[in-house]
Amino acid sequence: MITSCVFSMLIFSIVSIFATKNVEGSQPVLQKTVEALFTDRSDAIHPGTCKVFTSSKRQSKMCRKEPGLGKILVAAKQQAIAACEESFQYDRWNCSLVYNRKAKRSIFKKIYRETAFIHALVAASITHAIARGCSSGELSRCSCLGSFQNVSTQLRGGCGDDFKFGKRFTKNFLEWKQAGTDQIAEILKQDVNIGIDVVGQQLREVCKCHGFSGSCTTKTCWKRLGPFNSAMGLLKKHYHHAIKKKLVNYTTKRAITPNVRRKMEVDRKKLVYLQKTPNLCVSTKGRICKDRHNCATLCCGRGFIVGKKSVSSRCRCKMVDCCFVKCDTCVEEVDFFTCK
Amino acid sequence: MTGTIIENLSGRKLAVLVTFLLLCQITCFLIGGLVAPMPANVQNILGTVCKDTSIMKNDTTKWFYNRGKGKCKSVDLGETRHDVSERDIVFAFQMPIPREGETYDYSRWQQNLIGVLQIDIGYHSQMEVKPRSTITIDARLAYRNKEDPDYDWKLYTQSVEKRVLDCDIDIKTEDYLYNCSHIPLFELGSLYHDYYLLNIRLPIDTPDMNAHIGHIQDMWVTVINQNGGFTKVWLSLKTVFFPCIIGILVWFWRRIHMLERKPVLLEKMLLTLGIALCFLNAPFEYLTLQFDLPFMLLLGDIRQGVFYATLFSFWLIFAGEHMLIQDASAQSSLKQYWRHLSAVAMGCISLFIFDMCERGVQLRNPFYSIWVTDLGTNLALTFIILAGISTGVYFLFLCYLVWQVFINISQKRQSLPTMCSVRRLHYEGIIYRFKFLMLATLICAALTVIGFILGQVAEGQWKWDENIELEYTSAFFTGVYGMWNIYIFSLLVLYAPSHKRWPVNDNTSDTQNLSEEIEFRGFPNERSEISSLTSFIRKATID
Repeated sequence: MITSCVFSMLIFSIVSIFATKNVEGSQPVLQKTVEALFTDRSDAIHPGTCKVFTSSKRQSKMCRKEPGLGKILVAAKQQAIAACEESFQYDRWNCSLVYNRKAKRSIFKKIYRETAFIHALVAASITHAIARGCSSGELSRCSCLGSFQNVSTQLRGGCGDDFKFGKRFTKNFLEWKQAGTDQIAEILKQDVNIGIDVVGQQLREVCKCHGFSGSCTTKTCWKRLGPFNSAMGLLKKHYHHAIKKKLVNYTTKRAITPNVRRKMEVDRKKLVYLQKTPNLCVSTKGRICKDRHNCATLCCGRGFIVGKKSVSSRCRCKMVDCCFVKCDTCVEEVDFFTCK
Repeated sequence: MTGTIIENLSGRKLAVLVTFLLLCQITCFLIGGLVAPMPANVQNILGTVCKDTSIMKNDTTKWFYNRGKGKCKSVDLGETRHDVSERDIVFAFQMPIPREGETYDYSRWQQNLIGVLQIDIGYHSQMEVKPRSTITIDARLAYRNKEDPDYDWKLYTQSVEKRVLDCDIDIKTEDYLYNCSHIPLFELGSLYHDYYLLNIRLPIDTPDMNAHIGHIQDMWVTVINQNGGFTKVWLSLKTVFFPCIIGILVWFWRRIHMLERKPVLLEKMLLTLGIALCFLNAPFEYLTLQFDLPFMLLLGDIRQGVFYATLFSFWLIFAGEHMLIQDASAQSSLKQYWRHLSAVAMGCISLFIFDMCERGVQLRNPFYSIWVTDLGTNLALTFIILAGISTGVYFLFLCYLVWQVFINISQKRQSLPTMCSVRRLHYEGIIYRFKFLMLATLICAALTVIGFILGQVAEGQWKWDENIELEYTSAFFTGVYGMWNIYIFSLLVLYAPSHKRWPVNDNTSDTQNLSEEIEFRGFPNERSEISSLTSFIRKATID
């Protein structure tokens, strides 16, 4: 009686383990996190300690340890979405979640050019937000990396480079190392890396001399975090220069010649995707374009309608204040272009 | 007849001494590189925007901070708000910021705090930032100690300051940031308290005030402080060097007093140099661990200034005293050198005035900077250029003097073979002494310059393998510091008068001949013990 009970318990527990694994899905956390953060445009609160999305066990632990992280993630998410929508306003893909307004054609279904870009974008945004959070004191567990001396006793609170921590933290949070080694995982890992590196490329070194009588006998330098929108500009260039890889069977091993190796090195600095983006010309009807030049590409040669409309815009901005822009509203007649 | 120790030292002893000093030098360098962390620490702090709802903005008991009990409500500057007026905005910087889950406090070992302000200004086509526009900052600094409650900030200092914004932009796109150069904000000479808080407001008391500074998106303050670990290593070095130099000074002076003559100028100069070094070495910094001493930055500058001034003067006088052509008239004194030394004095005085104008005033107002106003900039530049010119003149003059000495030496060399062996030995001693110092000085100066350039060019940390890393900046500082200490130590030892009768082994008739000769010719003023080189030279010129 007892043995059978134990046996059934054992079977039940094994089944339940498999079941939970199945529920979690086969997607690695990296992919799921990026998708969850980018897809959800509402302010809904999700179960788990991270709140902004349904986090994995490890991520929940990180959120619990660092109470300020939830807020940072919200900021990172909003920053990524806003930057994407703004800079892709006049492109064929306007940062939508689905292609051609068809609910079934989600951009996360396969690794499209856009999917690769969004992975880079979200990673960049999280890195940037974490580094900022460290600097403002919102995050309290940031550490100083790259200083080999005993940090806690010698440094006593600080280093000028929060980016390094942001980079490591983002990789940890996205469970970069645990993402797997198959081709899809490798590609996404590379895309995430590129996103993080773009933030790193925006760092600027600033130095201050404070030696004898203020001379440069002692000079201290630090890295200054660049603004996110210029990182976004660089990311968009990466989007346009992304390269497509063929899905390869890992059973076919080819010899790596120096030429191939060199190509691989170059490719490592570019965004990589697997699937060709479907033709988006179908859905650009009725889209507004910026100017005649832009309309030519956006409307896919179908032509465009020039209309006149009165636009109210900010003008005569007076600087009576330091921090808020206060402007008059001017009404102007402007041409506006709509795709046929 | 006695000379200095260096002339009478055997080659073997000299080699042992030099090796020992070299070992000390290497130790100093390695202590800095392996034990000490980097000299200064940086922390970037992003300002939290707080809302100040009070009507009177000059209440210095009300403080805004972003961590701890009673923290302020932060405002997002990105969105347009109508309930917040520009007067209500306060940028709060609470330092130090937490790391690794711990709220750190400043330790007094960290010595000083320098703040640099960086402003992120977004581009708006409607309101471009004019080049070199002035920003007016109302800055207030508060402090708190560990045992105080979170809200108990006390005013440290307050000032309304004007600074020049130097901004440009490459790509004129909406909301892109300007490239603004950093603005020096404050310098605290002592880090006595545990926590500091900076509140920055941008007042608009007149319509023109803060009117052309564009749209501020973020404000960053970068604080630099000396590293606690570095201070510990530095102070230990000072604590070791201080008694050593004092000891050798006492020994040196006793040796001179044992002679029957009065000390000559060169010996007095050596003594002064030793005292200046003691002043530099004195570990006054221990006092900052107990007392609030904001003048330490200024004092440090003065100490270094005094030391360099004495060192430069010493080189001049050393070269001057070794001119092998001098009239035999009275003992040389400092007065003879007033023309030579005027360049040193000029440089020092102008640097001192500049330092007093900058760091001296900062004692009263840490936010003060001489570089802000045009008049101040001109004044500061005048003094610095004057100091630069003086240094240039000094080095030209020094080179000229050294060159002349070498010419004289080569002239004397030609007549050396014709002299009797004793006098030849004398001259060779003089030349040897001069050359030894020249060599030592050149090596020290070259090492300092090379080290400095390497530090500018190379990375801060050097890696030999996975385990051994060298903190180069610290190593450079301790190495150079140790080097000049060792340099002066060896000068004091080697140029002290020797007790040995000269020549020790060479008791031939030749010597007696010379002594007789000298006695016969008669130099009533000079005792037989005069060790200074100049005395020989004088005799030589009379010969």
